[in-house]
Amino acid sequence: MSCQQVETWLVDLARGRVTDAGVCADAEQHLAACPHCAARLNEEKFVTDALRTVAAHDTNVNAPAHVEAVLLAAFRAQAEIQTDANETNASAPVFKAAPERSFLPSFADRFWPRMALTALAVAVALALVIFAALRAQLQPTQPQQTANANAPMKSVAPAPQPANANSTPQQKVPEQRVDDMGRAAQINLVAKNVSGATKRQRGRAVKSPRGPEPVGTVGVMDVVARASDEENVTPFMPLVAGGTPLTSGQLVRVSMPRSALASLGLPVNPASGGDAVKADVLLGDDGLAHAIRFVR
Amino acid sequence: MRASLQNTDEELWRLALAGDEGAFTLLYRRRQGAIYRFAWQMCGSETLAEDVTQEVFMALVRDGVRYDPARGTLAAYLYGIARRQVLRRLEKERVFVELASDEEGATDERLIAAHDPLGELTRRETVEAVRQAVLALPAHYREVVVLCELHELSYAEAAEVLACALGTVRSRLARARMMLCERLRALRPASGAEIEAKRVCA
Repeated sequence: MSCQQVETWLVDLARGRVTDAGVCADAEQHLAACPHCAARLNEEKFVTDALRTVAAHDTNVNAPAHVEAVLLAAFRAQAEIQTDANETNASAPVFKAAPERSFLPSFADRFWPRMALTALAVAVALALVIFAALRAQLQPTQPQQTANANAPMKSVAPAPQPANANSTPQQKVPEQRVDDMGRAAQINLVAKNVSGATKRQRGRAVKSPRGPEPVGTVGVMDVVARASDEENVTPFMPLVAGGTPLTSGQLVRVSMPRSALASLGLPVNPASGGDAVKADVLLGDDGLAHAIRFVR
Repeated sequence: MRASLQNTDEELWRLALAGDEGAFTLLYRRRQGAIYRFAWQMCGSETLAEDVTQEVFMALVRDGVRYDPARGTLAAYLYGIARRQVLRRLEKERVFVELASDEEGATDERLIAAHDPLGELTRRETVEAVRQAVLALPAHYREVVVLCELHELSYAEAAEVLACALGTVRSRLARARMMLCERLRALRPASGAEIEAKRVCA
């Protein structure tokens, strides 16, 4: 027997678990002639002795008595439940008998949670696919004007305008002014509400959500749709600093002299100061004009 | 049939399933020590060992019908539950055990004999050192050492508990013992054979 072969038997030799007499004899013969393997065997025997000392030391270690009391209480409670369940059949065992094992129940027992999760995942994926398909089908049927209406309404902060002396005053609205007034978020909220309402009212007669419209005013949806469809409008410019956030309001189309733009801090060409300019004023429920935009 | 000490584990289990509290009590008293020791030797915590023991037998009360005698012994089934509980708790609570413990009274004072205090002290120190060395092993080596060495299960029984091949148990045990050799070297006096081996090697 070589050193390598002895090494494979060393643990069993040290534990006294080798029952093959031939192996024992060969190993002993090798160990007598090989000091290295003999030393290894001594190491293994020391480990065996040490572990056996621990095992003997721990022999009388038991669980505390109160564990037994807890378990017996649980056993009685379980037995009571089962007895109640089986009281109609006196011969039935208190606990359910072990089921006959076959491949199918065993497989199902082991894998049903995984199968359930997989089925759930497939169902969710299927629902998403169907939803996406339906949405894609509905998308082209939306009126183009609604999509157009959303674009200008969502953005309140004025976009950078080209520097052109002949351009209309509203194109030269300084960006800083809107920021200073700090009302962009509120106006944006209104704009979103308006655009949301537009979607909801798609395919129906355009109507103010608050009943009959006042004389001389135009319904919010109407103006938005019309302006978006036919006209080029500026972003809304806030007129009131602070105050309560707007949740609903009305758009009123007005005509005003171009010179009035100066009161808003907008540059006015004196040559065309007498011309009229169209504007949409956003009136809140409090009757105040909260924002204005100009029609180019 | 009345439950008695002559009954096998499986017979007691069947009687317990039929509602025999005596059978359950006998079964518990027969197996609780091994399960408690296994958990304690695996995690080094009495509290955790107590919890694991309770959980193992609670599982037998709740789901005892799941045990299939055709698949293995009840003892292996209980060890298997205990092992899963221990590994789960070790993972959850990250129980780390220091190798060197200077804490006074850390061992069970009941086990110190009065007639040979020096011998018992040495034995106690040895036991503690070995215990700590076992606890310092990685869990998959430790469980093999605990089952095969401290609980004296055969390779086949350990393989059943660990749900692995018999060869895996053998190789893990050999590797674990090599680690223990290294850790316990300080405790071991050099034998004549080793001195001779060192001389030859030199």
